[in-house]
Amino acid sequence: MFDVDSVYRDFCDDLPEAVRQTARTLAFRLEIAPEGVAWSRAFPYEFTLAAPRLVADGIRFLPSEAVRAALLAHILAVVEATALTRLASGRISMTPELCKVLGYVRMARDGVWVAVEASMPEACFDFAFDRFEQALAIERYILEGLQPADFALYDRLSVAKQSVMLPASSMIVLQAGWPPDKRQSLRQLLTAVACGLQVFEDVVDWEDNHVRQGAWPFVLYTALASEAEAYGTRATGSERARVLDSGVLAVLLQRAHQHFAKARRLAGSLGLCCLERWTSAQAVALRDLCQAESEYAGYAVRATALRVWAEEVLT
Amino acid sequence: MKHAAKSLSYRDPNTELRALYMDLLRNQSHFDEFHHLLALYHPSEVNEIGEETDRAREVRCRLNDRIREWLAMDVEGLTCCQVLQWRAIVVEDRFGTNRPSVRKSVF
Repeated sequence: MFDVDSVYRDFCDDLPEAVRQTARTLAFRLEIAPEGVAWSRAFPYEFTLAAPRLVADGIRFLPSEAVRAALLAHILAVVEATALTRLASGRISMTPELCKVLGYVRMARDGVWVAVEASMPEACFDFAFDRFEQALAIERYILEGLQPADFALYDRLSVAKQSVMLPASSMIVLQAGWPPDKRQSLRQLLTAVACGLQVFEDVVDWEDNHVRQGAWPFVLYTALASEAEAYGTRATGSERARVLDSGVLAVLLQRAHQHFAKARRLAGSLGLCCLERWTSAQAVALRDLCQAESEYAGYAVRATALRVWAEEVLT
Repeated sequence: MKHAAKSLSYRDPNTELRALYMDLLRNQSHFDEFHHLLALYHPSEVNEIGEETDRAREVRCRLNDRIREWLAMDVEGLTCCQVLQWRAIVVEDRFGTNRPSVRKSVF
């Protein structure tokens, strides 16, 4: 089967020389990974870039070129979405080189569109990116404190932000002749995994995000704090203390656990055994982490900070 | 006899490190102070063979004293190399390198 790095490398090799090096070092330029680290190692989870291949692994008799094309389209969609997120948060600035590369990324992604009916929005990247960019814009307002939010809005925006994860895998199962209800289950599965990972990242990265561009736990803790005040308790102290005292991190980890539990059930029903095993393991890990966070507020952030040390020294 | 037994008692460095790790996981205030003291320990003040400046040694001693108080144990304490290792991972995390490149599990 095709791997993320070779597919992306082939894409770069086909680009004009003037933009090739920028494309090859894009993970570094977007501040996703240190220089020299390939895309396959840039994100913490294989799922993020390789989802279509993980889906295809569980389906027989798929034309290999269709899988490769879908994988390339997906990689380029994730790269573009990542760039847009970084730009929206001010983490990076648009440059002429980056603008040109993103233009080629978009063109190449649209170029691998396989023959799907125009009435299939599920496989339409334009539709997905419209949803994604709308969600990103609303999220910006919320994180900058210009608009309030509650858990319901957080959930809706999380789902919308994962839109770009769906079209390429939808292409694959359309090619495989899956009926509409099965394709819908797949979209729910991919959305659940992506949301579970997003919520987990929103928890463990919240302190850094709060300093840079705003953090969801800080927005959402007030919803819990309001409930607590109604019962006579009150969080005091610094912003971090208020977030930790509110228990919002444990609430979010519980949601992440629920996403993965749902994903496990769906993967099982679709016969995607590898995804079923992986989502099951994540659901268990998140359940345990949620419990630890409930007992020791801030546990998830500290455990993330100490994780590499623990793996190198204690195992 | 008791004193001799105490001085000959076996120290398992891994047990002590694990105890410190669990304490830091469970206590935000300990973790914050640990992070702060690590940040004060500059790599430029330690040479290749582990010789520290007076200032660096003072920081490391203070760190080890606090660790003994947190754990309520007479632990060996962290060496220069161990302090630098902790610092590199916990304090100097620029690209999220405190996470493995590709994880099998969220935790």
